[in-house]
Amino acid sequence: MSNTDFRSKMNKRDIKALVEGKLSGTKKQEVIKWLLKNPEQQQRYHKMKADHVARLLRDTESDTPQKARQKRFQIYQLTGYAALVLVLVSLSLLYLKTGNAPHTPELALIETATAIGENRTIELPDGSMITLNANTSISFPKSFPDEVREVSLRGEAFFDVTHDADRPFVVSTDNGMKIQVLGTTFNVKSYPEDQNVETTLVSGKVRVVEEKDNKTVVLNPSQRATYDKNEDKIIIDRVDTQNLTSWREGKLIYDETPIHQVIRDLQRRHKVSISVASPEIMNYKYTGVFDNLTIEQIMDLFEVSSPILYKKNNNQITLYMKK
Amino acid sequence: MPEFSHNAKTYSSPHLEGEEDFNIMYGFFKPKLFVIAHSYIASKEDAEEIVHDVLIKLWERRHSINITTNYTAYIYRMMRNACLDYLRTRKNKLSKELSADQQEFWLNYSALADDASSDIIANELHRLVDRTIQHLPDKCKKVFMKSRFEGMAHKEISRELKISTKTVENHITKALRELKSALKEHLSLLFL
Repeated sequence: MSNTDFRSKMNKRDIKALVEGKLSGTKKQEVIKWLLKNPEQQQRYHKMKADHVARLLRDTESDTPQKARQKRFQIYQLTGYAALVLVLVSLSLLYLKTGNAPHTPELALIETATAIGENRTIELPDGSMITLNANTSISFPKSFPDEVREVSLRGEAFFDVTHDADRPFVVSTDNGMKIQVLGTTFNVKSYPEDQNVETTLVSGKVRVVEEKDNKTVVLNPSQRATYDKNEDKIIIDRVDTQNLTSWREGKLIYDETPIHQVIRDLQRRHKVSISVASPEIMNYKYTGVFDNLTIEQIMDLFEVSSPILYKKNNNQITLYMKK
Repeated sequence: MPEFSHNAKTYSSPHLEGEEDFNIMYGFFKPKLFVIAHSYIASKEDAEEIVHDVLIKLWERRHSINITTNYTAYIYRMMRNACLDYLRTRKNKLSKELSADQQEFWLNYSALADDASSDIIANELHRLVDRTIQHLPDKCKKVFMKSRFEGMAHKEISRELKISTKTVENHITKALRELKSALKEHLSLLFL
């Protein structure tokens, strides 16, 4: 039995056991690892876990401690039966599935996406870790072929690529840029609505290729390649990589950043739409740090740290300049 | 438990009113928030500390925060952020090999950071709070909600409901008394 067969044998029952805190040791580690590798199953875990917590919450309410213990005992008994039924059902499903399911091609693509305001870290089949920023999607093959490890990115992600000299790692964007690496950590920001595609190298070495004319730039650590889609040119500058990768900790750091860039970031992070009432705002460059703030806190900070004022009406924010 | 043997008159002293108020809110939310925090944070002590800190912070900020949505949602958000902070620093520790613990932090972090799932918990908490104050008389409930869960000042409430501030205070006192008796079984938690 191959490794993947073994993996696919994990199922809802394992997730449930983990949710209910019934696993320990290697079994627990295995299930956690499996979930981290299977975004769909992980999503399922998130929901089951939340449902379980909601149930526990209900239990805190009316029960005296003794009653609660009794009740929990009953629940355990019940879940025991439920688990048994689940095992039988899943075994028969497995039997049916292996019986006539077509063989999944190795190159089947996995696609995973984050919503507005959501960050998520995923592990690729080669062990590379990728943290996705909000409103980002990425796709990659279920297992990488021998020659190349290629992923497609739309949005922003931080890559920590496992070194493999024989298989270069390539990030393609649909904005005319490709990033080729061996093993390294770097950040790619390539949202379709943004004017620029930015690649920032933290460690190692990467090659940024502009696909149209095959223009190539090699980056050293702490360098950023900014590709201007409209003017079709690449600019290299030195940056503080901490500032550009701190979004992973929920922090947004701006240093003389054009306000339209700040607005785009905020709209990806918060469920609001931001419009500008005074055109001169677009020329303003903002410097400041938002450390895990709510949109209201950020707007308040705008007002004290810049000449920008705001009005908020439900999810609609309007910015205007202090007269 | 001397604090709870006082009669309602105690509330006329502003200092004690605050303290009593805090104890009740603390006793009400602590066990619930702890259940949530401990579900995502394996260490019991750390989960307890986080919840405690959040409730204290909430108390310290009571005059400076202006809660626009509702109190329960605000409390939940604060607690969730505190838990996420905790998990974030632990999952992001740089090391070549992801340790078993770290993977668990990753998983719990993304589970709690998942908005759709987190909403399930927030809604349940909201429902519980609603249910607890549901059996209060209508007017009393309304006043209490506006004061404690929507963060309105007594004066604003009196203006909106067209009753005197004194009546507002009476309603709140009554609601707190009800809450307190609903909480009797959790009293020991107040002195942790």
